[in-house]
Amino acid sequence: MSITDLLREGFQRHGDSPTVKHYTDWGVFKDVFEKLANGELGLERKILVEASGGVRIEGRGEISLYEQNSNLSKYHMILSNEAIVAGFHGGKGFINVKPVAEAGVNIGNLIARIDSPGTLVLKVVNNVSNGLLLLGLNINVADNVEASIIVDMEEAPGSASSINFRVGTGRGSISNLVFLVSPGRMMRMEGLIKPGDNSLVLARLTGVLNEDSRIDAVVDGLIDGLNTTLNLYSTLYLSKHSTGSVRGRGTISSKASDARLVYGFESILEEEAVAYMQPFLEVNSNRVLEARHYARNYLVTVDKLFYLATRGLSFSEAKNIVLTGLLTSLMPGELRSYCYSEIKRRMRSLPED
Amino acid sequence: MKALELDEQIYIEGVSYPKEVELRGRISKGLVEEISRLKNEPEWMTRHRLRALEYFEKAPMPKWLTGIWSIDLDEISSYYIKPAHPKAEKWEDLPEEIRRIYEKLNLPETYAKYLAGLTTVLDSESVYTTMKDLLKDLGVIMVSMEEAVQKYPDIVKQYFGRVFPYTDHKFAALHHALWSGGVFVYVPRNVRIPYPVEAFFFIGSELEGQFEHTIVVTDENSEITFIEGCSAPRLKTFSFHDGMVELYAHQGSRLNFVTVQNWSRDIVNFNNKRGIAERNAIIEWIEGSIGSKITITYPSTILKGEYAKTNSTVVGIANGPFIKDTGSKIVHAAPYTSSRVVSKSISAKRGINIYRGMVQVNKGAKGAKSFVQCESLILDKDSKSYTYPIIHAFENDADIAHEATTARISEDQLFYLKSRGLSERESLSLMILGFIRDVFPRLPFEYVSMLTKVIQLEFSEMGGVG
Amino acid sequence: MLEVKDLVVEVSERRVVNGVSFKVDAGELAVIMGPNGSGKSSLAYAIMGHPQYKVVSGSVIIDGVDYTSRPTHERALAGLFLGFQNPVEIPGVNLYMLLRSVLNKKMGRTDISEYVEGLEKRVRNEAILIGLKEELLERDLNMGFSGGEKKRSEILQARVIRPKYIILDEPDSGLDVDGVRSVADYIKEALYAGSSVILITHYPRVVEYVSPSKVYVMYRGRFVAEGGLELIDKINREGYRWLEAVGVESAGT
Repeated sequence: MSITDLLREGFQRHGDSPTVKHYTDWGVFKDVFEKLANGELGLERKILVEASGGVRIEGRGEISLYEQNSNLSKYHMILSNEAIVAGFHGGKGFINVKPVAEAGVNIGNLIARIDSPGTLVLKVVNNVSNGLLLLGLNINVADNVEASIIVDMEEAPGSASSINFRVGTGRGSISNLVFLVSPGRMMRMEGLIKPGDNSLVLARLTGVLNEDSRIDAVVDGLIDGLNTTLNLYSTLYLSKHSTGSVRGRGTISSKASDARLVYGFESILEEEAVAYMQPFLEVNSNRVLEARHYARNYLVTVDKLFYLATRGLSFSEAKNIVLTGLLTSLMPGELRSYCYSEIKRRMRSLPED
Repeated sequence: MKALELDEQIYIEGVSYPKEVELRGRISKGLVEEISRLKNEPEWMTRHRLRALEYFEKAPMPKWLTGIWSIDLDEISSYYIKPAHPKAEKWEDLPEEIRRIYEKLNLPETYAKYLAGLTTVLDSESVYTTMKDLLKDLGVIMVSMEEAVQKYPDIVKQYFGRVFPYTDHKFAALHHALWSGGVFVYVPRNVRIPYPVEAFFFIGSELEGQFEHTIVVTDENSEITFIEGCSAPRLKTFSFHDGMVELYAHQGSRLNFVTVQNWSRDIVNFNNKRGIAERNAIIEWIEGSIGSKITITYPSTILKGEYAKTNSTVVGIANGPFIKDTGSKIVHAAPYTSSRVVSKSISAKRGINIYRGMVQVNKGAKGAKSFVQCESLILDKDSKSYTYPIIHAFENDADIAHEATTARISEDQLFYLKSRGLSERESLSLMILGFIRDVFPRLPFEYVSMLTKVIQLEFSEMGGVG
Repeated sequence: MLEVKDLVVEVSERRVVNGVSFKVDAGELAVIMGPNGSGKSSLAYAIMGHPQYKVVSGSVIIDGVDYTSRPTHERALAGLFLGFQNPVEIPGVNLYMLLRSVLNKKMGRTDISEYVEGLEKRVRNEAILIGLKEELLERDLNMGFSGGEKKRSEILQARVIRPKYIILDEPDSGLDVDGVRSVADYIKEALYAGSSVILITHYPRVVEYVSPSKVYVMYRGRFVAEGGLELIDKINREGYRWLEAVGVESAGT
């Protein structure tokens, strides 16, 4: 199959209703792939990966993509399924990922194997201005390992990307996973988190959207075994004219027992911003310890700001502290301080009310 | 393995269903014209039916319905041509479970016979006829839909198909083409009906149809609580139901619409329910769904005027390999509107409960508040609960929240109750009643006591019907 | 000195303060009493400059400077503080974050989230002194705090910030004997250190431990009585019924 063939199929899956079009600006993808098929845009089948600290590049592998939510994975597969394999061996590790070219379709895949406890920061910077970044990501945490992982994706305002991920954790592991995102023109994220038996995964999606930026994140979770916990929380700060869609299907299969599943989505909207939230929960048996979900729109009210102002903070400082607090809540200590300073920097670049 | 989503097709875990609802046979134009002729309908209604039929044939199958059932249109056509034999003619013909339940419910014989469909008319000396006279004195119009089309065409035209047009989806179109029976209720300005109207007893036969169409309109500052259905188990002559309810609450009025359904377990019960609330008006939906093989119902409200409110309480019980696909859809289209949804569901013995809800706050609906709370109780390891909330926030100055929990009854809780002398079954039904208690304050007393008994029987040795 | 002059305040077009005047000097304790709905909290909110409380006329003067049209945070930085009756919940922000930001501001730092040396230790000590469980310090502000814990958290903040003019709105309601004692102790300390305290309450148990220099009784938006401890005794004995008679003459809109 070629890109041209795929373009005829579109991006939405068979069975999707027309409403889904509103979540993702498929036009951006269509435009780029058409140009790629016509030879108007180049194709780079690699990405720049720099590793330091407790991370070593260990060779090549094949990425495993999550194929449930759109046809983007088909495009991704045709173009490249070759992945760089990075091993994290404990302590503090850093991986920097950058596209090779500033224009064209840049595609690359990374498999991160975490086999010892520690903190791993994976920073992805997308500055492709006329094209796309397609990134495949597999994160595997080994049995009995406790690790904190942050995937920090920062995009330039005119950039667009498609990120496909799979996270799998081993027996008895404890994983704290944070996706910190600053989308550009259009960021489409789709993936699956599948914790292993007796493991705990705390997953957090935190997004700061600039004016006119857009994100469509689809995060599915599957609990299939014994005594497994998956908590997925999402908080998006949506500036003027931005669009944030967070959807996800959390499933507890009938084979699971003693499962805990929480899906909590929250959006903070400025004027003219639009939020879509769909935390779906599927519970297939009653051998469940906890299964709940929530979705809400967070209002920064005058009363909250007044309270903080009576302590000496101006309204805009108060708002900032509330927003940054919300965006970094529900994260363990080390990740929280990283996110706090990153978010402060990104919020500072946002225009004042 | 995936499952149902409002915008997608799916399988239900472990069982694969065909992708789409299967439609066999067809409905002919001639049949629709004949239906209209037999009812002596004015031309505008005949044309309406035919346009709806055209749309039905063109419209695609709704993607959000799984192919878990099939519809035989030829069978439906023949239902119209010749009325089906009533399922029972004498008390002794009734299935034993139904007879036993009626006996346990201690219903007066006349009511039991009425419920069982053995008679279509209630004793003329009943308390309901007095109520009927009172309504007439108040100026309330409550007649069969067919009669309303003849007698009050101007009012009917203002509302019929305006709240829920046939273009909404394929089954709405099918309904509009084939509708028959149903009630038209109009409450005049400033009239507050002081007691709930248990329509089932007033005008029950009209509500028995397969495609019944009910419209309730409350004019400015008026008030009505309309109850359709009844919690006692019922047999039906059809296997596919596609009914519609359109509500319109004018400024300052209050419309409560209560449906309790406990149909035999071979029926596919498809509902189209929607209301529009104007400024300061309140529409309240209360839905209790116990029977049927599959029930699909999403009472929806459009909050059109400032300060309009809607509450929706939905209780779904799937006790056995049945599906309850319920939910609500609310659109906040004006400032300071508020909505509150409470959904309680119980799945047992391979039952599946699905909640689909959508809350949309349109741009400009400043100060809108919405709170949705779903609780599901899964009683055993073979039963399931799926919750699909969808929130669309297009206005930043709104307070929207959806919360849902799925729980099970713990051994500890059962043990505690058993230690007080209750049997396992009694403990279970006590906890279940406690779980769905929220619905009760809205319902009239005898309703609650019958509903309580029905639920107790449901979860005791009796089990369901059909 | 904190001075309130002929203050008239409206909220949602309803007059809630109808011509109130008073002064407090360094080291003074003023007690404002009155039945529910008399406008005591509204007065506090107006002095702090809540955006929804419109000052129709009159002024709020802090140390000789007119702050009537200045925003809330400037009044706080000038030394004003309000211990709320019902502190609002603020998810995302905890006590450490809040206090760090405020202290940084007072020190004139541009980055108010910068680490403040010794703050953590100080906050923990204050928490012990005031009887606030340590785990609450990390929790989102006031979320899941009991009524008493919320009050203690307000006092803790005041102890760390050390304001000059401290308004406490019903700080003793919902507290046990020990709690009331610690509020009283805090007031005594603050007064001794030169701050002023305005205590708003309708049944002052705290007064058993500290003596006010002035007692005001507020009713229907006005101060209808002024005096000393004897006023408090009268209220303890007779409640507020006698206000009806006084109120009729001076009732506002």
